[in-house]
Amino acid sequence: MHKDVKDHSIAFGWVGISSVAVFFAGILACVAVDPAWSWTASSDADKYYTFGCILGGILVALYGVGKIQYGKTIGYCFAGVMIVLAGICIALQGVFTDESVTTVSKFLFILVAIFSLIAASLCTIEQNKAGKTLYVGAVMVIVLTALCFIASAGENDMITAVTACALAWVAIDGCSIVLENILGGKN
Amino acid sequence: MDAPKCAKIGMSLGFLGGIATFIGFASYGSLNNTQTFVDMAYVLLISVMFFAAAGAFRPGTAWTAKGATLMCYLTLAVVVAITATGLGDFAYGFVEAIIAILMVVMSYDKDTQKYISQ
Repeated sequence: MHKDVKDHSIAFGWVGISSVAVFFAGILACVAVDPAWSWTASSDADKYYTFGCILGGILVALYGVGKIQYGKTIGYCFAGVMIVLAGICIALQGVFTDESVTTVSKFLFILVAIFSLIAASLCTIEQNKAGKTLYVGAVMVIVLTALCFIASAGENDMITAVTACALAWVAIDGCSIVLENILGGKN
Repeated sequence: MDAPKCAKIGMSLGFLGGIATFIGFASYGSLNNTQTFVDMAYVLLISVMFFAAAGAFRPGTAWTAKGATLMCYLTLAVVVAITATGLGDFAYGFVEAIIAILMVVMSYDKDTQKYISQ
């Protein structure tokens, strides 16, 4: 029974990593089709962005469900709920790509950042309790970089950078689950 | 217990990082001549972080071994954040990030952790 639980949790770890890969693949496809592409302006390449957001968001939400199901503590479970909400916001982001609804898009981006920050904080507290300094250090770098972008960058750059940081955290958390299963709970 | 090699290297790297930041600050300012008080504050913050992290590699201080490792990570985080947002010079930021990563690696050494926890 315990073996089954471990096998499923590693699968969810891979889902977390692939969700970020799908999202960034969508962005890269947009830039490849239209080098001047920007998420704030309408373009022919928007369909790739929509595809990346919706599929990436669904995978992030699925990863959150795995976090809830296999979370050992209440902190991990609550972080899972936050990840599910962030995933839903990313998927909705793909629906609202029209130029007239950029206010909605920006609001969704801010929600993604807030949900991810709460989830990252909760997971970091739990990992710190378990003595996993590598994870804590990696999250420290990501969160401080995001905060610096919030403090210094322009609105559009800030939103893009903070979302990238949030997704980078999802990838690191997924890697942590995969490595934990492979190495058996070591750092 | 004598200081392990990794503790000595970690402390030296901390001082080197702090001094390198000051040198970078001086040359960057003289090249651009556009430094503001805020720019100075960011550079001084990195420098202070490096010196504090260097101090964590000594026994009998307030730092635990885990605290020293996290301090090195925090130094790395500050360097990466300031460089990534363009608030600091990229070339110096890159060198400082490598120094900070080496300090993190040194802090994981088992003998160094025992030495710091004395």
